[in-house]
Amino acid sequence: MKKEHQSIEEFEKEKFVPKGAIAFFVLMIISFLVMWFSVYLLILSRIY
Amino acid sequence: MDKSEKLALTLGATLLGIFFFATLILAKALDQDVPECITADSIYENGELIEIEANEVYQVKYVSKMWAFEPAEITIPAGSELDIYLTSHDVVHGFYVRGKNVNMMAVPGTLNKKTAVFNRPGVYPVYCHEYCGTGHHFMKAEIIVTPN
Repeated sequence: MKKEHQSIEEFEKEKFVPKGAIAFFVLMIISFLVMWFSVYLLILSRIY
Repeated sequence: MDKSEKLALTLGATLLGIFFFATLILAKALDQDVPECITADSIYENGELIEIEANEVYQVKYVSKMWAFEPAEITIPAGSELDIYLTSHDVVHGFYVRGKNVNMMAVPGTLNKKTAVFNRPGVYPVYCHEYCGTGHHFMKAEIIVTPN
C-alpha cells in the first residue's frame, strides 16, 4: 500500500537548509554595507 | 541556540562594531563632529569675516535673513581653517556648503558653529536648504578659496 504522507520522524530526518532565507540575509548585509560605506566614504572625501 | 541563528547574531554584532568604530574614527580622530550649539548672552547683528591667524585660521559670522546670507561672499586662502558661526534674524534657514561636511540650521536667537578646513582652491557655493519663503531659491552665498 502506497504511503501518502511523511511521518514526523521521517520529516525531521531530512536535512533542511533555508537557502532562500540565507540568500536574502547575505544580500541584505551586502546592500547595508554598500549604502553605509558609500555615505561614509563621501563624508571622508569632503574633509579636506 | 541554532547554528544559523548564532552565525546571524555574530555577523550582526560584528558589523555593528565596525560601524561604531568607523563613526568613532570620523568623530574623534578626524574631528568631524556634529555642529555645536553655542550658548551666547547676545548674538551679533552683522555678518563679517575675521582673520584670527593670517593664512591659517579665519572666523566667519553669518547672518541669514530673508533671502540672503551676510556676508554673501568671503575669500580665504587655501589650507586655512574656517570657524563658521551661524544665526538667523527672522525665520529658520538652512546652511549647506557644497563639497564640505557643513550642514547646519540657522535658528533665530541661537548660534551654531562648525569648523571646516578648505585645502582645495575653488568656489564653494552655500545654499539655504530649509524652505523659508518665496525667495528661498535665491538665497545663496559663496566661499572663495584662493590658491596660496
